[in-house]
Amino acid sequence: MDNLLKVPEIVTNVSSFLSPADYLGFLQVNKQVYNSVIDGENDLRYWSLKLTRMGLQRVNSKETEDVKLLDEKDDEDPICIFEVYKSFTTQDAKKIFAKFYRCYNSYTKKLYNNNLANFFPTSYSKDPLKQIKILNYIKRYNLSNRNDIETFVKIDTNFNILREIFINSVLKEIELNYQSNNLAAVARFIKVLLISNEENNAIEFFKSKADLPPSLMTLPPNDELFWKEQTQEEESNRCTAVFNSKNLDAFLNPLRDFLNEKIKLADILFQGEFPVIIQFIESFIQDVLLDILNHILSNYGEFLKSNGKDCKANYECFPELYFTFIKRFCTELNDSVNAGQTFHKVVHELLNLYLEPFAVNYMNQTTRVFESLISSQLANYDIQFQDKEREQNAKIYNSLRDQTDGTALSSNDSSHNHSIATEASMAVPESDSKQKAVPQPVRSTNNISDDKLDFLSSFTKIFKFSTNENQKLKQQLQLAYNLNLISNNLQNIKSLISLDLCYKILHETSEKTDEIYKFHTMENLLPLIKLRCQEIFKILITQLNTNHVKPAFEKAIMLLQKYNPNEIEQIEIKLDSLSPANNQVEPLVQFTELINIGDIILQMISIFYKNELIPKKIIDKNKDFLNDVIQLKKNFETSIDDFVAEGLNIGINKLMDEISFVFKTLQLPDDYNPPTPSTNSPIRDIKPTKCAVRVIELLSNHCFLLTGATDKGTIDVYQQEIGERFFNEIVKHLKKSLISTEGAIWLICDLNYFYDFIANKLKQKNVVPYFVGLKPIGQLYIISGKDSKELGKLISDLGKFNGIFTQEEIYEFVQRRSDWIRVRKDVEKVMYGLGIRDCCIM
Amino acid sequence: MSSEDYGYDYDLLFKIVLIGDSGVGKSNLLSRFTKNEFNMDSKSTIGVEFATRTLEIDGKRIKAQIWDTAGQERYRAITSAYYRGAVGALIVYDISKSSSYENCNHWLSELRENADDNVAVGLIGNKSDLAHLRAVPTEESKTFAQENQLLFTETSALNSENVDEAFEELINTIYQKVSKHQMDLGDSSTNGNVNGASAPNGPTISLTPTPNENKNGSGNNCC
Repeated sequence: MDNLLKVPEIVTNVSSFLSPADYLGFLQVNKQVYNSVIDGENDLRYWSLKLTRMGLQRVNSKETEDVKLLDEKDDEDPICIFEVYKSFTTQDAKKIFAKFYRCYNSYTKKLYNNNLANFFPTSYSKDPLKQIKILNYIKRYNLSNRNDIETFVKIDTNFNILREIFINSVLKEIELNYQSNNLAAVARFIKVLLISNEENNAIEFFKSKADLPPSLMTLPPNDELFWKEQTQEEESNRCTAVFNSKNLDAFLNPLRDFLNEKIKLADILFQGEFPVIIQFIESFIQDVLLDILNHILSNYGEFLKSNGKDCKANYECFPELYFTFIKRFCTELNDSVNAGQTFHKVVHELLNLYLEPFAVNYMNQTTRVFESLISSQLANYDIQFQDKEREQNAKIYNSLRDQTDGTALSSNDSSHNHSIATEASMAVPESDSKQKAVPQPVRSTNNISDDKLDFLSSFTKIFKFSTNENQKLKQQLQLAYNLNLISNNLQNIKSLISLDLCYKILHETSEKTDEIYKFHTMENLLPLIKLRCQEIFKILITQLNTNHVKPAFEKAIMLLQKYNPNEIEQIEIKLDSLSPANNQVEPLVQFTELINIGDIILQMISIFYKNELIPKKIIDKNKDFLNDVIQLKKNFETSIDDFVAEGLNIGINKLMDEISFVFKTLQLPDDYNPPTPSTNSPIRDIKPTKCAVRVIELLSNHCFLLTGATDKGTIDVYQQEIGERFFNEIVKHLKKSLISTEGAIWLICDLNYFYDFIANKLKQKNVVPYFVGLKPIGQLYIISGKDSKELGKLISDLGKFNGIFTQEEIYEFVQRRSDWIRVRKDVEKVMYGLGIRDCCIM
Repeated sequence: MSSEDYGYDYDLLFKIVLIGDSGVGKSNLLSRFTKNEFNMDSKSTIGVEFATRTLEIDGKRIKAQIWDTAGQERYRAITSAYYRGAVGALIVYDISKSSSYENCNHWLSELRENADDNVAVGLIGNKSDLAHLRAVPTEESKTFAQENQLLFTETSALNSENVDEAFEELINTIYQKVSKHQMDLGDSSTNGNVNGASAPNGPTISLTPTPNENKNGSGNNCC
């Protein structure tokens, strides 16, 4: 045994496991042992290890500022010794440990012996804060015993028991003091808990004192919480609020006040020590607010259902609810010392975190809701339009029948009346509103062509049964009815698109976009927000196009195509209000109003796009040029442009038909070829003929219809097309007229009048040369027949220099001279030169 | 053709032609006289244009039917058609452009060649507002007018100066001639060259006196 002690390794190894008392005793065994340990580094290491186990830092030099110079006289105070000595040098390790030993050994000894009574000296007995501090230090001091594991474990076990007893008594004190409303004492004991790392107990206590009174959780009944369905009159300036805010506030404000009370309590009990209020509010959101939110959502679903609306639109109430929640449970919360400066920001983030899934659901639901809202409004408008048309048709019939009253027709055939009225009312078969939405315009298209067919068949019948007077009247009424229908439908063209409705829908789109975009403070949701806003915009365009604008233009173009002013003028029985306005191709006038409306809609969409989508970065013009939103917008514009072009083309055709008709009917043979004057006939003023005045009136009424309705390019094309086609009509007309030298003055007058309109009113430079070219044509006729040779020269020169007409055309024109047969020979001689036959021997 | 196309609103109708070089201001003189308008950027006239104004002289309503010609017709046949039946003419030049004055001789001879011998003619020096650019002395023109028995006025269509006076003087002169010669106010078939084309069927003035003027004049115009 003694020999063992001669092995330094064994001695040092054994010594390292000893408690300080045993270690010092062991050194006394013999000199050899003493020397083998104390001489080397071993002793220093023993004490240093003790200190480092307690968490002190070993440093190499005393010069380091952190090192407290060892002062023998220092009182060792267990409350602060760990604060005084935070580091040590190896040389001082033993002495410093001695100080700690003096402070805490008596406590660990008691713990080792499980002698827990009167554990703290009397000076601390009334001060739980000091006690808990000492307890914390004892635990730390005990770490120095870990080389002596048996001692360490025993002390530690007993320490934990003691600590538990202590904490329990603190909790008991907290409870007692809280009940006696001694909040200062509660705060003191809570500080003890916090120092002893018992935050959970502190929070639990706080929560146990902050239970929500169940009465606050009772939601108001649905009828009080949500606004009732709005009536139609209110709809125009309806407020979009879902909630009766007064009742919602009556429910939410007590909850907010409850939170504010707890904020105050947390400030008193915890001060700035531990942000209990954040934890509390987080669990309030999780347990209370989400519960409320879910209830409101499901209640709103039921509410919608009970009001005959789509219960799957229940998330429509979410935005309003979200912002009310943010206001009540973040903005309106009092400042909190406990949570510090960032309190409101943190609460806002917490609310966003927990409400985010709801926002996602809302956004996924709302695009569908929006789409059905828009499409149902468009469908409703269409139904109303059909109803109105049907009503008008019935009115027309009745009015026409009244006009023929007293004739045989009405007196003895009431069934006929019935049949037409029935037909009118049956024009739109009953069907449920959803089915009506899309196919309606198509059906009205059929109506018109049916009318047309009816008209044609009755027209044929008139001739077949003309012997029967009664029958004839009946047929006439039918014919008149059909024609008046066409005319009436024309007047309805501009009502095919409702600007008010489009404006309202755009407004709703803007509101919906804003509503969705308001969630942009939830940064995670930004991509989804953009996507949904883009979808809303796409729905707007698709719905407007497919269910409103496109069918309207299609119907308008179809009506334009069917229009024949002469048919309408020829019917004998007609309503005054329906006769086509003089000097106007009615459908073209109506159609340009439609173009105007279409243009306004496009402009509104563009403004919306520029003012809403671009600034909000919902669409990046530079990056997203291939985006389907932009494509869709462009397609819509192109489709309207195409309709406009097609409609205008038809309109110009009709206008030219009308002009051609005026030329044929109003230009009298005497106009350009007056009869030989007699002494008694009065003189005719030199002024444009009635026909020319009427033609220019027609042009004036149509050339400027588009001004302000569409872009300048379209207007230019439209006006140039009219100008060119008008020129061709004049040429055609001239080639059919007969013009005398006397009458030429009126032709020149007319040509001047046409030129004046084109050059000074229409002002389309490309077209003016045609009308300049017409002026010399007028001169072909004023030349006296005696000057036939010079006439031939003029024709040759005109063919060369006019530029508008070829020699052949000018030759055609000159043939319209009333004295052509007489001058022909001379003219041709000059034009074609002298032939052999013309040579004669002088 | 309805009755409103026929003139019942005057007692006498005078055809007057405006001639002179292109650009001297004939169209603006006309528009100033008939519509009291002036167009700074008026385009040059193509062919011929017409305008009328009715004046009252001696209690008689006289309708002046004024033909505004282009001033650059290359065909005698056309100019001759314009002059046909004219009882008055204004030869217009630009006081700031001597060539336009020099051409007046040409215009005068063309007029004499084509129109009736008794046609009343006025010489108009237009653009009198351009005094600082004057190229034709007033005295010289006056002398020329006197030598050729022309009326003479310097006018400005731009600021209206003397425009009405010039026209009125010419119309007055015509009226005097008509009265003096006891004009035929009615059918003028006796002289196709004067009346034939331009005013084929009305009380156009012929300067060749015919015996039945009073009867025709009142007969045509009052009922």
